[in-house]
Amino acid sequence: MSEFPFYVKQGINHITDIQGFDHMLFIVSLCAVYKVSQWRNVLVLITAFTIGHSVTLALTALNVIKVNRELVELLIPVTILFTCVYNIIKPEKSKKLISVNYFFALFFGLIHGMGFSNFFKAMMMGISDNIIVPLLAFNLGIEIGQLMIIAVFTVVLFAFTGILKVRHRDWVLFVSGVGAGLAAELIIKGLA
Amino acid sequence: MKAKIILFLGLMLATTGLMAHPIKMTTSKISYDKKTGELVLLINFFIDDFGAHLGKIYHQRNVNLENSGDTEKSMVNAYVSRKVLLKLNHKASLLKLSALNKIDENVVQATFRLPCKNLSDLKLLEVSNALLFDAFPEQVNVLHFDLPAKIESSVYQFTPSESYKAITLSN
Repeated sequence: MSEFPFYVKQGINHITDIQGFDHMLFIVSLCAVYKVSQWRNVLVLITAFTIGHSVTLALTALNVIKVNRELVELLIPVTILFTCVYNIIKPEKSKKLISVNYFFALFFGLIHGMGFSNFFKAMMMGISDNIIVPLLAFNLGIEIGQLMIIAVFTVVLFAFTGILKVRHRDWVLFVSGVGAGLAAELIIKGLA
Repeated sequence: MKAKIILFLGLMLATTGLMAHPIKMTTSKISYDKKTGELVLLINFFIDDFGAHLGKIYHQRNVNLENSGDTEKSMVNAYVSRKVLLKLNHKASLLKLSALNKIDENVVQATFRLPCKNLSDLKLLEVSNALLFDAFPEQVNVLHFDLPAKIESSVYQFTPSESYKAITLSN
């Protein structure tokens, strides 16, 4: 495989890897509060997340900023827990929730970008001086992976709320409860 | 009450054995040194994982890859020679460690050199890379090529289910 498709594939695999599910869980947690009809909001949200993680992925990969790998790995589940708890405690019809979610997506995206860069740098360590093309390809792969996750999530959301007629608030509570539980477990493991 | 039950069920489902993103990877590069007529194989390892594994299999308590001595070099040479096999035109080559240096935080780079007087004679390179597959089931090894010869691909990935590649070179 030539370099570009190799790194696109690595980006997709990294974010959709079920064994290392932290980034996927964050995206799901962010999207949990939206209904199928709010797909435009989800697009804005994902754009905010993309801007956030692209900035720190590039800055870290290019060694403009240095990050503590273990601290970042610990902060990632904290972002998930925070998002899930906010989903749970906020009233259902809060317009503020939507805009706060954009902020979470952008700000927490910065932290996830550092997490992506840990993996990217691991692939590139001491191998190549020219990392621009691999970096672009890897980031593209992450975007494709994100869209795949959202597509699957939307289908599941539609199945539960559209076909099985589960109340949207119950759906939010359930997804956020799972997210919070998993994130708490990751934080405990990270601190151990 | 119903909301609490749903939330509780969600939290209960979350008590699984899933992990955060593990990075179990080595990266390698094969290049050619015209001056010495040798293929140069660089392999980068994460110091924590590799050191712990070497200690385990060679029964050593303190494997210091941050500042490697003769003991560490000999362990690395023995381990890599067992796990990485290179065949040049169907002929197996013996890997010999020429350097072992820390190059980044938690990254150690091992350099191996193989005689290859005339690169244009090299038509087939067979690589078997099983580094750390005996330590981590999720281990992935990435191999980059930086050769003047034409090669069908510049990056290869080795996994426990696919640890061998036959690579054709042309001039």
